Amino acid sequence: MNRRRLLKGIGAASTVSLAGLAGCLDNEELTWMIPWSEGGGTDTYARQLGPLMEEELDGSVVIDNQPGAGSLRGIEWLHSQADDGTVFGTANTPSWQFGWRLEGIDDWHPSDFEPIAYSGVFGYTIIVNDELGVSDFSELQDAYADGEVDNFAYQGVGHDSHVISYLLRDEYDLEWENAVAYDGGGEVNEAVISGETPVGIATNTSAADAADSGDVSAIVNLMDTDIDAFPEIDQITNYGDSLAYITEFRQTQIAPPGTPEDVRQDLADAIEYAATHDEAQEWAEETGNVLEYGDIDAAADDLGGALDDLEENVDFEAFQERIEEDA
Amino acid sequence: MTVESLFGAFETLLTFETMIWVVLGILLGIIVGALPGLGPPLGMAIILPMTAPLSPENAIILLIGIYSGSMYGGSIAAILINTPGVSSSAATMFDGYPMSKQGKAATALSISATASTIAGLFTITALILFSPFLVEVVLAVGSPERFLVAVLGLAMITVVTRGSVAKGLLAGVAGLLVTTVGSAPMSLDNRYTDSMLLYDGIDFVAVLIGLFAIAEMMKLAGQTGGIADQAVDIGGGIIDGAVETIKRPFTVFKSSMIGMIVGSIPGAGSTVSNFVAYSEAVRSSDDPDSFGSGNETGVVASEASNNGTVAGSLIPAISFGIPGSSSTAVLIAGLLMHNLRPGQSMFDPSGELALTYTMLLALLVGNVIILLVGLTLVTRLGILTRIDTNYLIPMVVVLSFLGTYALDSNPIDVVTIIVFGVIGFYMVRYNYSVIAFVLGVVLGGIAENNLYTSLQISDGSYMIFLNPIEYGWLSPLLVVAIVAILFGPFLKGRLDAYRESA
Repeated sequence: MNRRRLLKGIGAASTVSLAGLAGCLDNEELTWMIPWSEGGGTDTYARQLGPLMEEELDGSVVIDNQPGAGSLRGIEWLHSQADDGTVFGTANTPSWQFGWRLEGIDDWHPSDFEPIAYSGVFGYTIIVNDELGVSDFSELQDAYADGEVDNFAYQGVGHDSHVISYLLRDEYDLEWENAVAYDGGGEVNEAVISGETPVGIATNTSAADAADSGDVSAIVNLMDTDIDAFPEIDQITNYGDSLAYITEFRQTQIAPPGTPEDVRQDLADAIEYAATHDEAQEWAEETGNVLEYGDIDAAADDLGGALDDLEENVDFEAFQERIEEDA
Repeated sequence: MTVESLFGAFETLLTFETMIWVVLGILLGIIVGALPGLGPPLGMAIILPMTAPLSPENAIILLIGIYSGSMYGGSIAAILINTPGVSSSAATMFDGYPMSKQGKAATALSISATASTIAGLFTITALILFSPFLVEVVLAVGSPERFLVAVLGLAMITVVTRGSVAKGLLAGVAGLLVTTVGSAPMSLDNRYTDSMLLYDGIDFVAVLIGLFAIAEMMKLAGQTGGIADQAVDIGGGIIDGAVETIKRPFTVFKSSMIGMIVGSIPGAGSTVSNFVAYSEAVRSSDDPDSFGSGNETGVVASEASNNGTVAGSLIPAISFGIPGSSSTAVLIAGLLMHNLRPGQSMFDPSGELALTYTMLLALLVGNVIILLVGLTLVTRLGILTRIDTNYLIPMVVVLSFLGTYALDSNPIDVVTIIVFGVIGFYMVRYNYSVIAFVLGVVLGGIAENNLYTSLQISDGSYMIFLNPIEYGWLSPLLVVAIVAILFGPFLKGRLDAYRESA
């Protein structure tokens, strides 16, 4: 290879590499803000749907990852963006409303955002190391009651999975002694697989990954939506009221305040096209993800009800006090 | 069946189409790695949707090629302009950049290519041969061990610090203090911040770019000419670099093992292994004072370790779907996208073992490509060290700012590189150990998080770090290693004095 050809090659490859920067350099393209890092579950959804949306919109969609503060940083950024439909984002409802409420943010309100659609559903399960010999939730209750196991893994202090840990203990007779905080879902999976903390909370997709390791089983579905990967799994609703208000998430697309409905409808149409496309559905089946389209009205209902449901079911002040006591 | 899988993998790999993807992946990786701030996660994430039409083998080979190539590519910017292309090449700067200033950029780049390749070949071969055993090692490392590995790295401050030990410790503590900014792991407190931009703390990659790239450009602004001393010849030295690496087989072996083992620990990964390997090279050297001023062994250790982490990080990723880093998270997303679920089936001859072997064999070939590209093309980039600083400084500064902003699109990262650029400039001027400071910044968060988790597991008992019967042998062994590093030189001095007096 001569020098000229090498430089040409480097130039072409650099263009590919720098494409990721386009979102911060060019405001003309449609920017899809993802408030999580590359490689995370929400980012993977977006990178599947983005190219299909481009087909429908006949334009380019640039994924702009703005991680931080449990997704709140990216959502706050979205709040300040232009309302002309060139920028939209994904927020996992009701996780972001939970974070917003816990942080006590005054500068903006979740209801400020304009709904576009939702495109996916995911939620929590409980995973257990197989050495415990537990196959459903009642056996897990017995294992804790008998002292066979003490610890329970969740995904970080102040995380929604932390509240769920307390709710499971208070209202579902899961008598763990120590709730152990890990730094995210990956660490929880690892702790359960290795047996360091043999029981923990995992999303349905990461539970499927963990189960494939051969040493872990998902023993109870904490959300209301059925999980295709675990057709026989026990349901938490067999032991009490639904927990879906905090354990089941929809990937809701939202626009900055004031974005007109006609613009949002165009985006919703593109999302519907992408989410119902054969290619996307095939991907969902292969990976255990749940693609489910909800239109503007469905997304609006979701956004409107999420915070009310949380306020109704979670005593935030008591939760905060409890965390400080346990620290 | 295993042998059949291996032969099947060879058959798949040795096709023209697959080899094209291997070469393309490695080349893209080298470029992505060499551009500060971009890094493998972003490069892989951009490519990920484009792999949809490819066969699963070729898609994974392309992604993993980018990952592997970037580990080597990171050394290019580290050596030439004192900027870590990827965080796992940070330790390469300590001796690689001084070599560039001495006109030995080509030699340093040659060392980097050779050490990366040998380490890659060695660790991937080890992974192919010993994967079942290595999987057990990964599972033996939990929160207490992660905490102790971080403390081991912090103990290395006493080893890597040259000159005043007090200044080294002060720098290390200052680095630890930086990691206290942001949300506390054990409460709802947001420490030293009311802004959401700082909730996740100060990004250590931005700190590294500030401390090294910006600080160095500030320093260069006061001199004329290029980075390299004008009086020296920057040509040649390519063969010398390869020879210098081959002459240090034990350093390559040891560093690549450190890379592989520490790299396999989720949450620790390539950056930590990079510093641990470098510190170990300093500790075991007969001439530790020469490190930091262009010692070839420093470049060998750093570059061997970061390529070793590629093999290490694949263990939890393929075996359990546990992403040890953002790069392996994208890789797992790629596996899932192509209907390949991480798990035991990836090592099962009746499952996906053939594909796993194809992937690993592709990495072996990829490492040979790194060597060829590294020795024949990249070493010629040494000419960059002759560019006049009037042109070089604006280029590096712009690249640093762009790359930093591209990390997370967080404006606070831009402020970070300015602040730490100034801090780094004055630390060097007044002989405070920048390496000690960096060790504190990189390891502080890992230590704090895992200390808290460990104590929750043990219900507050510190015996979790000492009791081999209840918690396993690895933690007590790490404690012994930490004590040996901290007190070994003191005890050795006392012993020598006693022998002399006797």
